[in-house]
Amino acid sequence: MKQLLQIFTVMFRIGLTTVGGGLVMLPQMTREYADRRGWVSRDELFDLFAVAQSLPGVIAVNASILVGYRLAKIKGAAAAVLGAVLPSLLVLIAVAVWYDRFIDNPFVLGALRAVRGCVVALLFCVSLDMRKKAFPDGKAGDRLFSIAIAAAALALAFLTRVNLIWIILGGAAAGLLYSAARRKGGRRDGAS
Amino acid sequence: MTELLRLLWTFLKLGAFTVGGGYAIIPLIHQEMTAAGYMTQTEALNMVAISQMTPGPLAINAATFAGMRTAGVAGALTATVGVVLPSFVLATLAGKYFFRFQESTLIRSMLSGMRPVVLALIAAAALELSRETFFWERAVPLWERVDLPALAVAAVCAVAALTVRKLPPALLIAAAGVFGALFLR
Repeated sequence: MKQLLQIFTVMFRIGLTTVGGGLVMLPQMTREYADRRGWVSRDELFDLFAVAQSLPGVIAVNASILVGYRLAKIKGAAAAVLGAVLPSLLVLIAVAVWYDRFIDNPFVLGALRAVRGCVVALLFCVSLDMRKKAFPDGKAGDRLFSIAIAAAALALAFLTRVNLIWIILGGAAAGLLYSAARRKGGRRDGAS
Repeated sequence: MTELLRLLWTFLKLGAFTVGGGYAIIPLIHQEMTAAGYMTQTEALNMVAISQMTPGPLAINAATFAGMRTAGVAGALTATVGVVLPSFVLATLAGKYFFRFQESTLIRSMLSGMRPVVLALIAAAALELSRETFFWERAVPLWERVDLPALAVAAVCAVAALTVRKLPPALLIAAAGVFGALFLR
């Protein structure tokens, strides 16, 4: 019980004090769980983080669930995710309640105007940053395949109103077909 | 009640289909919110900006904000539970059965097709949001419709993010916010 409470408060504190997205939470979790408390080793944490990043969903939430589960099974996972999510929930409920009142304030409008510009810039940078992971070096065919997928997805997302989830599923299907085709050592399938 | 069920379904989908973290959920959440008429484009854009300025994971912040705006506190709870639930199921399963989860060929080949898609979707969102962010909706000559100060902020942010290694995005966002509050009123 005591450990559950500790898992909850650690995650709550991390959730409350990290601004700028969930990825910033991972180094903080390393400090709290591995360096300060020694509940898990750094190596094990990094393994968990790798899994957290390849699972669908919010990375920081995945990471806290995995660490919580590792420490105290399902109860630990629940305590961790509650702690990680609760600060966001409380803060954003407050923000949404006050939204109509502060949104016309000139200072807020100015700040939002600049931050929106910054967010768009960051989005461009993130997609640029992802190219190393998304377009693997390796064989030329693999690289060409992933660039073609990206081009097709960009065209679909930007020019049509198709639901983005279908595009993601299409990518998964294309990935399966491609590696199946490659394993047969033969033709490349053009479906996407 | 049906409103809440619709929110739950929307955010379950978002939680189950985002790979690659917070930024990847922005295009999805933006499309879902504006297509369903929950929000105007500007409101959705403000939601993303506010989610960046507040503590915690971006996607959770955005989900809470969207749920709150559509159906109050119950909506906020529903949306957040919706985003987290797929993670909870999948991550506990992975914690239990895994450990070589990401080494499975099946998962690997699916991810190899999904990663380029996620990159493209984020780029597409950036392009689409640019239109909203840097241009006024007014029937004046093109050069007067461009929001030059916002564009300049974006350019500085992009250069800073690309040149300074390990620069925390929060710092950039905070600096942009202060600059905007002081000079873009």
